[in-house]
Amino acid sequence: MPWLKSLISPNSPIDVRRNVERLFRRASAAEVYTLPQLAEQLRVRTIGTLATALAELTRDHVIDQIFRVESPKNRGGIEDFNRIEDVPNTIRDWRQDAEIDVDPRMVRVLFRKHSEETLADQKEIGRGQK
Amino acid sequence: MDISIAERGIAFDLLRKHSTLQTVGKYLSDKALPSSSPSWPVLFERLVTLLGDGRLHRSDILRMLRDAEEFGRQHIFLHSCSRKNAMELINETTLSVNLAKLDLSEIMTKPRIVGKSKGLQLVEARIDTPKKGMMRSLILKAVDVNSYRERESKVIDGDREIETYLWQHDRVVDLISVREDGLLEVRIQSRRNAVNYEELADNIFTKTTGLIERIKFQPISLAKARLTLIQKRSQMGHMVRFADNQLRDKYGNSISVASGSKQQELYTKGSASDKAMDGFLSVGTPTCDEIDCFWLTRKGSPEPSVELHMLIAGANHEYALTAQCDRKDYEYALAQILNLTK
Repeated sequence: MPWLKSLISPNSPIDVRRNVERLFRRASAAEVYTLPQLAEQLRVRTIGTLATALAELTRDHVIDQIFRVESPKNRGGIEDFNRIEDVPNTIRDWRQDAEIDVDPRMVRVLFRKHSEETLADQKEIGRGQK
Repeated sequence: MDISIAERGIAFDLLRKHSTLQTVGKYLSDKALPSSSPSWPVLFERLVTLLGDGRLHRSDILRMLRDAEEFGRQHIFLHSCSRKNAMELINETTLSVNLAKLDLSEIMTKPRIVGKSKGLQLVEARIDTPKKGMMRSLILKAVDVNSYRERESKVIDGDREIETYLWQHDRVVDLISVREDGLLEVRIQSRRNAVNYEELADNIFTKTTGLIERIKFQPISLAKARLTLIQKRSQMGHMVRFADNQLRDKYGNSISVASGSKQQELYTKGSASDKAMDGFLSVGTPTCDEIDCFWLTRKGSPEPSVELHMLIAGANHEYALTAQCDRKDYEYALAQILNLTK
């Protein structure tokens, strides 16, 4: 009965959401994932289903979506933003001590376990990380 | 009042831009003067009164400016000469004779307070005599202008795209310091755009011809310091957090690693980046081209008072402290670098 098989497929929206939740529950606060990484890891066939699950989980504060501006010098992160509208047109790239124009190719969308702290709080925490 | 209204205006603008209410307030309280001010306008009003009744002088304003603009936010080039040569330079008579030959005596007797300059100009020459037990140094300070283009607008008109740029001109402060032990630092203020800092360091050397003989100074290579810092990254983990790093082997193959964010440690024990670096370091003696790191604050240690971001890259004798800091933090970072070269 093929219709029954489709119902229990790991790619049904409910299962995708459950699998994403499970992955982030086990993840540490420092772990970050891109959309293609998640698709690969969870073996999701349709990106649309995964994107929907991620949008719902972000809305429900299970995970956070961040926009990371990366240095063109070495792809190291310069700064994280909560919303794409917050990404400035120019930014001080501290990795090369120069002001640079932000190109869309320099912005990476990442997902991580939800944190009650703001990005500013996390910057403070990072200072005592070692 | 021994300061002109024009100079006072420039100095206040510079203090507002480069200093903080707390720093200026502390300067005043150290002199047992009324210091608490909730805002810049109130503080400036207070300074005007103090300058007017002679409780503060032009020399105090100069000292505040030095603290505000001479430490950090700089690319630093290290050189050395013999102690004998340095001691000859750090001599008031020699300095005033040399300045007179260049018709620049004024910058020693009455240093200039300059806003935006049309080009590189020397504004101050002094023998710095910090607290007891610290080394004296000769300071030659210059003000320059950094011009760059900033995009103002972008208009798409059919098949035509028109971008308009606006020229901006920033005031920058560069200086040369020669210490009694023969250490020479060329400190070039960070520019907004990417520029060749080594060329700017050459320019200030040229500008000080007649005061400093460049031929007597040798660059201090930081190649060993860069490699040592990476080799000892685990032992120094309580002092330094690494953000990115680039190494090269004798065949020209390079490895570049960078942290995901400013707050993350790149070489957490047992991490992939830590093991990759161990692997690269285990074959021959690679060269370390670049280190990007933070000197951490530590319990029980007054310095650094804040995390200090340092970039050791560019010329062999160059490093950068990318944020403004106070004299003690600046000297802490310098001491760490010099220790690593030993």
